[in-house]
Amino acid sequence: MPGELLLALGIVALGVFIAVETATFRVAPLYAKVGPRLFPGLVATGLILIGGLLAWQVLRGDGREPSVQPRTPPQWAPLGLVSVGLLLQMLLIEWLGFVLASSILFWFVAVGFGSRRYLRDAAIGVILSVVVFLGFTRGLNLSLPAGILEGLL
Amino acid sequence: MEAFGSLLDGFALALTPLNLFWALLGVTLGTAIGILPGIGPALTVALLLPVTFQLDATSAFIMFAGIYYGAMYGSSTTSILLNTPGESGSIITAIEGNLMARKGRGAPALATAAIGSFIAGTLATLALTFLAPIIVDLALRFGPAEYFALMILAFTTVSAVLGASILRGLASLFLGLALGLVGIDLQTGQARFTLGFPQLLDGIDIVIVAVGLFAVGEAFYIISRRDLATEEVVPIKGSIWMTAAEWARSWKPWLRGSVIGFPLGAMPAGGTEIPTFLSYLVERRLSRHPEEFGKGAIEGVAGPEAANNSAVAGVLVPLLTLGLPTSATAAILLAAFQQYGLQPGPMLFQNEGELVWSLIASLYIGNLMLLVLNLPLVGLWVRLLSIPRPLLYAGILVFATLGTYSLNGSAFDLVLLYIIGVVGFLMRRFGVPVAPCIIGLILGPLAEQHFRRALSISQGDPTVFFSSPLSATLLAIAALALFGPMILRWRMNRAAQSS
Repeated sequence: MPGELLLALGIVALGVFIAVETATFRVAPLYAKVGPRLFPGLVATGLILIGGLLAWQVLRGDGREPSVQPRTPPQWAPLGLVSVGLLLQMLLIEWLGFVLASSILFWFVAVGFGSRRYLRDAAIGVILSVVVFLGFTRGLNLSLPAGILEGLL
Repeated sequence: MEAFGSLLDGFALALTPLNLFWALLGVTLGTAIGILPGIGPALTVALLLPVTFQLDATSAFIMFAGIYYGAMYGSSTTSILLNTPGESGSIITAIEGNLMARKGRGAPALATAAIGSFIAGTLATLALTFLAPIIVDLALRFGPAEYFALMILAFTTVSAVLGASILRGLASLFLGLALGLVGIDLQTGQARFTLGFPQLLDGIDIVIVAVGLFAVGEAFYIISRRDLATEEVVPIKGSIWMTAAEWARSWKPWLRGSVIGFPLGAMPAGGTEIPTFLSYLVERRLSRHPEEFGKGAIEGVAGPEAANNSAVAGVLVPLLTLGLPTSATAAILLAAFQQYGLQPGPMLFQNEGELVWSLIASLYIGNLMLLVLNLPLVGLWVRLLSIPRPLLYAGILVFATLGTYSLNGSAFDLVLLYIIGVVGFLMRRFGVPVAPCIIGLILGPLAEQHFRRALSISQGDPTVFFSSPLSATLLAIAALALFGPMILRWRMNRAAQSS
């Protein structure tokens, strides 16, 4: 069960990171006892203990922890499509603007979830994004980036 | 009868046309997101937070409460007609409810769920009305040590109860606590765990974490294990006016469900799932038709559906009176209070009495609206289920990124959203529950404040948490919740080995 073991070690690593960072805080003597270090120290200890126990149980493999290890490997292709959609939107939202970036996200997610009507999905994505953009900027006075469509919308 | 007078004042406020409008909007939205899979009350309220800050606090909370109640009504429809629960509180409804629908008794199943929800919701709101002032009186005597102990109790029970194992629950909780540490320490001005990013000085917004875990992580998880078989919506058959026999078999489960749901919702034990399971077990044991269970028994719908609505009112008791969230949705509601500069707890009843009591009054009104909305109009709602899944999830993610971006108008938050989404995906895949993380994130900073305040008062003496009987008792219960099951299992294993 390498996945579960990695998860456990990730938790330990997070705990170690917090402990190391906490040790670098410079603290005024007034707060030496009860200061900004105490609580993070407790959280770090907890994370290391929990991660360690999880790893130990995985390695012993005595089944005492109910195993919820997924039986099938994830479907990487659709997962990748959704992921790319989110990353593209993140990178493009300020340049292309909300409408185009969200339309791209919509299309990638829809196709990732198995839709094969590419043109229809693109059309719905654009319409939804435009409606949401106008509703939020005109109706609710929120500012969203217009991007290269500045002046058009 | 002081509560009764305050409640009447609350009704006067809640019945103004504007607040009725917000209640109606809330319950309508709640029913819709309850019916739709993939979006629940916690995610919806989180996405609305960046929009509602311009709204009057009373109106906003009336709407949020409507969403929470409405989601419980709506999700039963999905459970019954689709066999996929709309929300986790309706998992058990799917068993008997869907079988009833397949046998041509969908309409009575929907009716017993809606009427049971109404009765339980109203009874539990009544209990909330009269219990809240009593707990407020008690809570006024709490000091920092007691509050810290109370939060430890909430942490341990939520971790112990949710998820596949206590250890996984604790892992989720501590992840939330760790995320809550990020930002400037209010007492000393020390920047903690910001990795040099100025955007992190104010901490990680709970909206980003909730949306990341519930929308992005969930979408990743569902798509990673998607089976392409399309689900089939069972058409509604039968009469929504239940037969005399169906009424006779439903009313006792409704009342029992109400009684089970409220106290379990009020306890720091994580919301609506457990009461519904318990109610199902009770009804199966008490039924005069046990042979029908597993084949579409109406009691198996009536009881759990009453229990989940009753539990929602129960969840509001510790949230409003102690500021203690016991479910993910309650944690988001706590964040909503903080957005308005309000801290739920006994002082809220004193300083913001109008808000609290009009909120409670609106719960009675919302329940009535929901009964009308869900019983005669159920045919309209069912059409929501015909939205193709790809478009539904695409839309959810567009709104998820929109809500996150509009928090600060910065793409940096979208990067955080993506990272937290990946973490949420891993958590779901390995059976780590997400609710303790949300609760740890929102309660962690408060727990730290109380912890440090209590230690400052005692000049660093840690025995302060055990010297007050109330705080000592709370900590003892917390220890029992955490270690009790472990010790029990260890002893059972020993016994099994020796025999």
